[in-house]
Amino acid sequence: VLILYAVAECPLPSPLPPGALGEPLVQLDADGIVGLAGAVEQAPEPSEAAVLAHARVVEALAELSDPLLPARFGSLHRTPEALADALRREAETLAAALRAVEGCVEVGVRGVAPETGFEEPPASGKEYLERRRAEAKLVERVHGPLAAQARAARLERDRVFAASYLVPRDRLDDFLGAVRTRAEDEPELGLVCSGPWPPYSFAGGVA
Amino acid sequence: VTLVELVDRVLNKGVVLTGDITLAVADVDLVYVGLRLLLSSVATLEEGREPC
Repeated sequence: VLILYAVAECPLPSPLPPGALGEPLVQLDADGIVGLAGAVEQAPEPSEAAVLAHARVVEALAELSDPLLPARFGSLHRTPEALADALRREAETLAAALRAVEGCVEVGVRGVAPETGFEEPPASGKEYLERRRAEAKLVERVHGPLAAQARAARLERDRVFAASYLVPRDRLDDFLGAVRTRAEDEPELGLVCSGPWPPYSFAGGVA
Repeated sequence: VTLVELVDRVLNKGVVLTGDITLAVADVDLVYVGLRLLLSSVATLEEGREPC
């Protein structure tokens, strides 16, 4: 089977890094969308090591190509033809996503505080709604300014804060500064950053 | 936190092509069942640590 690692706009310069199982990578050019894949005897065993190995291959490819769309772990195709067909079928979406992530990295921002300070169960429906409103306002105070500094943003969870931001590489320092400011203004969230990652969260497009 | 963030991205984000359905999707589903367990154990492991 072929394991897909990433999708690029044009063929990458050689030499390519090896795949997660040490296999040589192949580039499949399907009408201007390039699939980067490795041919292996069988699918990798799902394990933490396998996930990290996949991530390392994607990182190495991201150093050779901008833009690059990371593939999800376990994206398997039976033959090169099947993979090329799949790339061709989704060429339009992939091309748009590639354009959107060009020059950008992904930054994760997450609140690691156990809760936002509302431990007691609400005494009434009114109190519940007031709490939800307060939480929504807190999230907006953090997410709004950060999203304004990013090319695209995904809010994953609005209670314990978790979001991903697509940030132009040359604006990364400013963005991290903005996260620091938010973290200081809203200490109860316990905001932490992760990344910069290849744009996993925006690989499906930014619409 | 960083490891959880990475594993979450690699497993749940990233491009998925509607590919060779008979083989690919069945395999991927199986792969995910195993990895969800892995992810939750990693999350538990990370809870006691300082954020990085």
